[in-house]
Amino acid sequence: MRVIAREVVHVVAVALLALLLTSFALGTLAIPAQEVSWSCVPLGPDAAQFGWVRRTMELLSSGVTLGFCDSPITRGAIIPGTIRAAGTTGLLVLLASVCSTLIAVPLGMRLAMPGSSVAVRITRTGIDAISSLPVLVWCTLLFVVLARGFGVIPGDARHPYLTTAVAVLALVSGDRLLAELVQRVESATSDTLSEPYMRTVRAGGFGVRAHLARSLVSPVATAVLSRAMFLVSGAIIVELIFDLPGLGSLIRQSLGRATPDPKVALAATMALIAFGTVFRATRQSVVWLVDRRVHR
Amino acid sequence: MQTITATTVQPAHAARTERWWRRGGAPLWMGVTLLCALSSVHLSLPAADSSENRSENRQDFALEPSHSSLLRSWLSPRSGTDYVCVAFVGSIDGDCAPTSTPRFAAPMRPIARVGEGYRYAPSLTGRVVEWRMDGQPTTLSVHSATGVVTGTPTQTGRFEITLSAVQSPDSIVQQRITLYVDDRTLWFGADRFGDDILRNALVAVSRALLPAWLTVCVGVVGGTLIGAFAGFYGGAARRLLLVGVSALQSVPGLLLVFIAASASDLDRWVMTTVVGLILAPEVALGVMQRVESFRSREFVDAAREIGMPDRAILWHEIVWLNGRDFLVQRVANGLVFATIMDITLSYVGLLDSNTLSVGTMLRSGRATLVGGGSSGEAVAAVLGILMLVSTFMLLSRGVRALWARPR
Repeated sequence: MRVIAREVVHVVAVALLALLLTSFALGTLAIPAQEVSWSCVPLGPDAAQFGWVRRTMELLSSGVTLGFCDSPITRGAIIPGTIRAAGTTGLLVLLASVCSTLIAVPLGMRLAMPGSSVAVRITRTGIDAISSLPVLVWCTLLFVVLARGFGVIPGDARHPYLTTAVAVLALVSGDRLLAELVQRVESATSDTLSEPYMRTVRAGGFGVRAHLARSLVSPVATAVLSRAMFLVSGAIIVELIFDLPGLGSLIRQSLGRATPDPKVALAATMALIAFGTVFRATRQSVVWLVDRRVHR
Repeated sequence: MQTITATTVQPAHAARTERWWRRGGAPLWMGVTLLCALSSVHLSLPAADSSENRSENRQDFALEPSHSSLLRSWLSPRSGTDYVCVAFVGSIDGDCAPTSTPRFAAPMRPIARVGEGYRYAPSLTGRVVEWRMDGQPTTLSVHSATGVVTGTPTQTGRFEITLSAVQSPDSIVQQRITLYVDDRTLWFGADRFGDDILRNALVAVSRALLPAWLTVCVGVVGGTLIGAFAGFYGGAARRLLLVGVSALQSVPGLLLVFIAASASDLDRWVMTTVVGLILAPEVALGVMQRVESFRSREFVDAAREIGMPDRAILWHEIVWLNGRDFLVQRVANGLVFATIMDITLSYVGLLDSNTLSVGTMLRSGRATLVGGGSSGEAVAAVLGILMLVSTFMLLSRGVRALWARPR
């Protein structure tokens, strides 16, 4: 119980601190003085005339009480619009994580087995090379290949699944998660295979895969969930390039010069903080469930 | 009979060079060469005025110098004061004043190649009775019903073209451009302003270097100072660092940079500093862990015994001799991070869009692709990024290999 209470306190404290930081940063923006939309705030439509302290407090109170209203950016109420955008971002992150895991786990296991083939080793080197290039580069390259090679423009509403697939591919290629997973799975498999009890398992003629799978849950979950916030950052870039309606485009519009709206930016930030909180809680829970010694 | 074989004795300096080469000299040499080449691009290439005056407002009928001084001086002996209206919409008397309707969906490409087909299919709101074109090369023609401009230019030159769409006897919409017919070999082609894309990419990449170094100075130097003190002395400094890192890492760095860019009214240097500050906690945490792991080693106790001050132990024995590998890697990663961040910000329009940068090239390349144009600009920008990343990685690898102890 103490462990859970400590985690909850930590998560709440960090979330509040992040909310405070973001409210302060948005409250001191240079843009609001002239152009920002301060719709639906207790200070009224003249909020921009007040100082940055009042604006910061305004945003902070909105954030704490979820007192958001409508915005043209979300085409209606801010909270449902942000949740929809967060859903797109979350889906991208989830798909990228699943794809990376599906590629990395068998490959890492093959690499750890004695006498792995040259092809497997070359694949590992290839993955290392691919992961060393950033998401932005992969997005642009895939965009060029699709547009020139197949005449399909990503972001085109007529090809939503293709756009999503290419976006996930760009995210998987550009993030370090895949390379990190291969490395962790290989190392965890080697460690498990060298355990004394594995000799008994082998001598008894039992399969080692079930034991290996159990030992891989913790490193895979830790790697994926530790890397998840980086995946979110990558997803924001992917969304900007492929015109996907996620948190990235929400943030760009809310901070852009055409339709600035700090409330939308704050709502998007809160969604990102929520992502961070969920990832952390899931990681701690998985690790605790798999190996309870960790928290003792 | 015994055979005597003569062995070749290498001179001492040749052996030293070979050892240096084997121990990491090759990547270091390549990295330094690339870095010097990229840094000197500014000096070797003439300045391009159009790149300084790029504006997204071109579509809003701005009057601007349209082409690089290089191209203009080659094609036109006149001074740089000639302005070309690149308005998508013109009024009946040819002004570039903004009007609401009707408007062309896209302008004509301002550059054509000798011997290559040129085609432009205008799209205009409203019904058009007849299309006319004046001032074009003799080999270009317009279809009077569809307005499609086709042909293959056969001679170089500069042509003031007016494309007129007659919607009614009282309403004629005009688009006026200066068409440059060029016969130079441009590896990646020309952008929509007629500039050489390869040249633009090199200039843009060289411009990304200075902000990246500034970011690293703030992030790595600041992070190292904080991390080393927190790791060596522990206590409140350590706790403060951990809390700070936790708070900063709870919000994605990209978002913080976006907010900072907006708050500073898109000031590039403020944004660069903020990127450095985002980099600092991670560096500080790494340095702190490293210092903590070395703090209780025997050699530290021995150094204290012989009267070495704490400051010297921390900076020379721990950070320099045992942590420089880590720092070099952080510098390389930081340079890549800063470059990508800079490119992303200029791509999303949170940096000055009038300045030529890799991000604006990527954005422009994307727009060109969406419009069915060439992929040269996007590919050149990606190659530029690859060149930068490779340079940083080669430098890091070379320096670390040279510093590594022979085993």
